[in-house]
Amino acid sequence: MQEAIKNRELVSALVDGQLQGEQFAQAADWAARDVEGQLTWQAYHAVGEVLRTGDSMASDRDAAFMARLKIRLQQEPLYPRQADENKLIALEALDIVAGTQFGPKKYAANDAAYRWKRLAGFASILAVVAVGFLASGIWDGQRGAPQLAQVPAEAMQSNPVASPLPGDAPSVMIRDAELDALLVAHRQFGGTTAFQGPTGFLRNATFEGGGR
Amino acid sequence: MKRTQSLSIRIRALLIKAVVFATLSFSVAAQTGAEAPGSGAAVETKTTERSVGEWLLRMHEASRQRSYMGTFVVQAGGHLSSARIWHACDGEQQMERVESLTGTPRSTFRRNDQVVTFWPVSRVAISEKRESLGLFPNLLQAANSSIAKLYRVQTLGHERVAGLEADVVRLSPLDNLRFGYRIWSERKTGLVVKLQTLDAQGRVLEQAAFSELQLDAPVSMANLTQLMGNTEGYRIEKPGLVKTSPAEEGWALKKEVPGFKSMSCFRRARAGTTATPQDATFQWIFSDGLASVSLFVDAYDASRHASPGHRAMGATHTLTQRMGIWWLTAVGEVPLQTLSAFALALERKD
Repeated sequence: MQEAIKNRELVSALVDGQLQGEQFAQAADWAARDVEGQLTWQAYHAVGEVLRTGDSMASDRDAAFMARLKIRLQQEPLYPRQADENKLIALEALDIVAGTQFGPKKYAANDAAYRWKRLAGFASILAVVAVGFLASGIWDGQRGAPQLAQVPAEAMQSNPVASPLPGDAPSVMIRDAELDALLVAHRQFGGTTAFQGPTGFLRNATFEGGGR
Repeated sequence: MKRTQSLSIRIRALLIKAVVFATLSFSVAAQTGAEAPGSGAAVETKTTERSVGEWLLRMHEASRQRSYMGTFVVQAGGHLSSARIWHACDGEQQMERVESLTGTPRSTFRRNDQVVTFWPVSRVAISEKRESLGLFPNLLQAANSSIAKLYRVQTLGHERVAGLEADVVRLSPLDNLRFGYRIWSERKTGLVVKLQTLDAQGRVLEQAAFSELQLDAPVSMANLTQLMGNTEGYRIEKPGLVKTSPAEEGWALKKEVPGFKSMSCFRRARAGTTATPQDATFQWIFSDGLASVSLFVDAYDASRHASPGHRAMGATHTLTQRMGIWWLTAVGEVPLQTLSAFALALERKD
C-alpha cells in the first residue's frame, strides 16, 4: 500500500517534470509496465488537463472517470482561492478609497509637483484669455472700426455723382445670388493684381463667397 | 521616484510653454492695440530701402521658390474664413492645395494657372484656367513704374507673424481712388505672411494671414498632382467663358479712371443659359497693379435687377445701377467713388 502511494507520488512528480536520475527511471518504469502505473500516469495527466482547461481531450477513454473527476473537482472546497480573492478585493477597495477620499493627500498642496500643476492650469487659462483678447482685438474690425462701405466723407464730396451715401444704404450682408455669382467671377478672373499670385489666390480660395 | 521626477519636469516644461504662449499673445495683442487707427502702426524704423516693385517682386519670387504648409486665415466684413494650405514648387511648376476649414467644404488645387475646385457635397469639380495667375511677374514688371506713381512705400520695422520674423511694409495710395496696404513679408524669404487692406483713415478693412506656417515643408508635388487629377465621382464643369473685347461688345470708357488699365474682357454665360450676347454677362476687368475692378453688364431685366445701390464686404465694394436697357454691376477692392467713376465713364457704342 505504502509502495503504491509512493509510486503514485513518483508518477505525479514525473508528470510535473520534477524527477531526475534513479527516481525518474523507477517512476517511468512503473508507469510504463504496471497497469496501475499506466492508469495513474493517465489520471494525473487528465487531472492536470482538466485543471488547466476545464476539459480533457487526451483522456476521454474513460468517460465515466472524467465525469466523476469533474464532479469531484466541483465539490472540492475552494478556501485557499477564496481567501486570495477576498484579499485582492480588499486591496482593490483600499486603492479606490485612496484614490478618491484620500487621493489629494497623495499630492499634497505643498507638494512641488502639485504647485507646478496649479500654476500650469492657471497659465493655461491665462493663455486662453489672452487668445480671446487677441482675437477680439484683431478680428473684431480693429476695435470698433466702422463697417466697410463707409466711404470717406471727403471722397464722397469730391465725387458728387456717387450713388447713395453710405449712411443711406447701410452695409448689409450680401445674399443676392446674382451678385454672389459676380463676386465669385470677379475673384476668379478679375483679381489681376500683384496680390493675385499667390496671396490673392489663397485669399480667394480661403474666403467663401457664394458657396454652392 | 524617478517617475515622479520626470513627471515634474514634464509639467514644468508645459508650464513654461503656457507662460511663454500667454506672454506672446499679450504682446501681440498689445501690438495690435498700437495699430489702432491713427497711431501709425508699428515703429517706423527704416530698415531696407526697396522700391514698391522690388518689394512686390521679392514677395512673388518667394512663393515660386519655397515649399510650405500652414493655416491661412481671412477676415473680411465680419466674416472669418480659414483654410489649410500646401504649397510645392520646383522652380518652374507651382502647385497649391487649399482645403477649406470653414463654410462649405471645398478643396482647391492649382498648378500654375490651372485651377480645379472640388465641392464634395454637390460632387462637382470646377476646372478652369486663370489667366491672371499666369500674368505675373510680367504684369508687375510692366506695371512697376505705374505702381510707384500710385502708391508710396514705407518700411515699418519688423514683427513676428506665425512664429516668423517679418518686415512690415506699408503701401499708401497717393489719391483717394484706391486703398492702402500693410504687408508682412517674411524676412529671409520675402513670403507674404500677412496682408491688411486699409481705408483712407488707416482702418483695417480686410486682412489675411498665416496663423501657422512651416517653411520648406516636405510637400510632395507628385502627391498634389495625384489629388488634383482624382476627379472620380465628380461631375466636371468648366465655366462658359468667351474671350472678347470691349469694342466687339459695344462698350467704351469716355474717360480713363486714373491709374486703372484695361486688362481683359470675357463674355460669360449666366447659370442655365448659353453665352450668346443676348443672355450673357459682359465682364471688363481693370487693374492698377494692386487693386482690380470688374464691370459686369447685362441686359436689364426687372425680375432680376430690382435693387440698385452699393454693398461692401471687407475691402470689396459693389455698385449696381441701371443704364437704360442695361444693368451695370461694378465690383472691386476699391473705394466706392472709384466704382462710381467707372460707372460714369462707361458708355455704350452702338
